[in-house]
Amino acid sequence: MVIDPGHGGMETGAKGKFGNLEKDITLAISLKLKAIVERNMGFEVVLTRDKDVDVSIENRSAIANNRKAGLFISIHANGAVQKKAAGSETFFLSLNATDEETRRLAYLENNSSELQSRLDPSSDDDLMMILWDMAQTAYIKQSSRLAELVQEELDAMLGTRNRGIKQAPFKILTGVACPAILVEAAFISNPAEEQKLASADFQAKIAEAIYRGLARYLRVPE
Amino acid sequence: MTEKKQGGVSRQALILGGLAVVLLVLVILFFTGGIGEKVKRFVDAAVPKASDAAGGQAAAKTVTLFFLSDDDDFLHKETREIAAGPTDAEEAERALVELIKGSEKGFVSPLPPQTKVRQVFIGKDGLATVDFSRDITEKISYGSSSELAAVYAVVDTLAFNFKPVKKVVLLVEGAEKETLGGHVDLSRPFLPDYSLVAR
Repeated sequence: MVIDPGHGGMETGAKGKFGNLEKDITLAISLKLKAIVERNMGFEVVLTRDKDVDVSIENRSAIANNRKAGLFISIHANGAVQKKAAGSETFFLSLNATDEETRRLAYLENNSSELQSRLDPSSDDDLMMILWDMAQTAYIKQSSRLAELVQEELDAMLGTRNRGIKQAPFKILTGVACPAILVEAAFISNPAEEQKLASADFQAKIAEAIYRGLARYLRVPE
Repeated sequence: MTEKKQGGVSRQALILGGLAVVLLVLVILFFTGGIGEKVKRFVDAAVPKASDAAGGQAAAKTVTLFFLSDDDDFLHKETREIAAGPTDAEEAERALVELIKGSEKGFVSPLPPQTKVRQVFIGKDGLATVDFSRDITEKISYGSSSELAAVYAVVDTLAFNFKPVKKVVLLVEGAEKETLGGHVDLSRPFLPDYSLVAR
């Protein structure tokens, strides 16, 4: 399993009014989550970064794919233009496909035996893109289930507004070859939530909630 | 003496001019097969131009812009008049400039006010390419919500107002960029998403 503390180094992510940075909060939560998972579950947890350094989005997905991650959880703190925006939400990938691609995908999913004959072998990029999309599509159902369970636990433990699960074309989720979610624990752009996010107690609750959602997912995978 | 001479010259010029006009009409008729279809279209096209000049008023187009509200998480519609024509791309550029300029009704633009629209190109395939100055990434530190709002305010504004636009690609300083602020994937074209818009 790979945990991805959002942002890092020069790339600070969202900033709070009191000067807290998204990159620091995501790292703190990720370290806590790694500790809980390793203590309670028998498998290895890899972090995409364990200190305040720049890691490109490509390298983050490469870490997950090279280590053959079975699950990918990216930890973020949200930022909005509106100071009042508040709450917790969990994202999984939307493929942001164009109409044509969607149709092609739907066709291929239902006719996978014809895959080779239907594709133009000269267009390697197109082929790779379509195969990648198919792999992603296969993970989306599992990602959605994981997102749902994690979001339920966040809602039960944090006392923040439940913003639900959502789909978005996030870059970090597009490159990972396994079920993947992105947790937006709370809004660093909201002064009250920023102060909560900066506290070790609240960070521990977030880690615990994600762990509980994960545990439920692994017990009941479908 | 001189007056008379001048009068003679101008009369001559008038005759020459007249002949030139007749010749021109004949040439046009010749090249249009005498049907007059193209000439007619030419005249039609010139009509609004003349009235514009006379009225001193350029044609306006009403566009719908998408802003954030302080009170919820949705995009909100606000209409605005922009100068019309001559091309969709130029109107689209004006609409985006207004989007960046901000709301007149207390809403908030999700784009940094320093952002400049460098160019808008609308391809025949319905793909609009918008090139922003680097201010769009450098003048704000995005969270997931504000980054999604910035992207979809642009995409929805273009797709909602300009029929030929089916999908939108965002560039920064003329080049492809991975994301605006670490979240939303810019490598693929966006379809509009009106689920983010308040009803």
